[in-house]
Amino acid sequence: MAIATTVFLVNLRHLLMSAYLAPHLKKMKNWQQALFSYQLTDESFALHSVYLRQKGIPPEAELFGLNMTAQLAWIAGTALGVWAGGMMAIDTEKYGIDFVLPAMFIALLLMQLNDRKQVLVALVAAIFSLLFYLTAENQLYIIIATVIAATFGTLAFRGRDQEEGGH
Amino acid sequence: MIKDYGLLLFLMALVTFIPRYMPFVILSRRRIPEVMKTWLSYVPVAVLSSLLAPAIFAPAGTLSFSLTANPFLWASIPLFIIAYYTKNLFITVSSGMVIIALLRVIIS
Repeated sequence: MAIATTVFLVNLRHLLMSAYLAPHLKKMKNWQQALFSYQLTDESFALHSVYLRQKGIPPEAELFGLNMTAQLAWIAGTALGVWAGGMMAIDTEKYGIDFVLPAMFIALLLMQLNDRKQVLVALVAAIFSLLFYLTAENQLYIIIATVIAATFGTLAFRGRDQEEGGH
Repeated sequence: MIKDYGLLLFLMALVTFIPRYMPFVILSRRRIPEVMKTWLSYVPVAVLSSLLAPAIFAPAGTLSFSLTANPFLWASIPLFIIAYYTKNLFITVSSGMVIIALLRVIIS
């Protein structure tokens, strides 16, 4: 049970990601929503949220095309690694491969920082995430920091939305 | 201690799927209050920033500002600028790989 509990806590952050995406994808059929949530990862969430912000609701073909590609790449990559990982010695540091994920998140974050409110929320999230990551011995730092930062944004910029024409 | 791997796999699949699917069940069939829409509009940026911060400030598990111990942090600075001006995923990721590789050559 300890393993299942840990896995649950680690995966809890996807609750917030789904909560963000769900209202935009309410036209989908139930089975499509189930498939979509089954394939949701940090990376696919980031790409979908960039798309939503820039161009609106993605067409279903594109949505599932991205998810299927990502999942197949994950499975194929894992299989390849298990099968051939021992045969080659790639220096991941030499080619900067270990920096790919942080670099990707930098790109996907910056693509969404389109006003001052979002920048401040990102800063608050970064500070609290780091704080909880360094002090707490659990996997909840992402969800806690996200809740704090989104609540901060909502409270701090109350009334501003109307001034700027809002939604 | 669970001995049955089938049961363990099923449990893991369940706890992985439930947080992802519940919001669809709860949120996609009803009207969402304005204040919650506003709150949710901050989620993507907050989640990405929360994922990123420990990865560049404490990649080894402890906070480090050292160029030699934590080159990620220093490589991130030019990368933020590149990401800001290009807003392009491929340019940013490939620049990141080049920057970190060069930085490591310099500090080694």
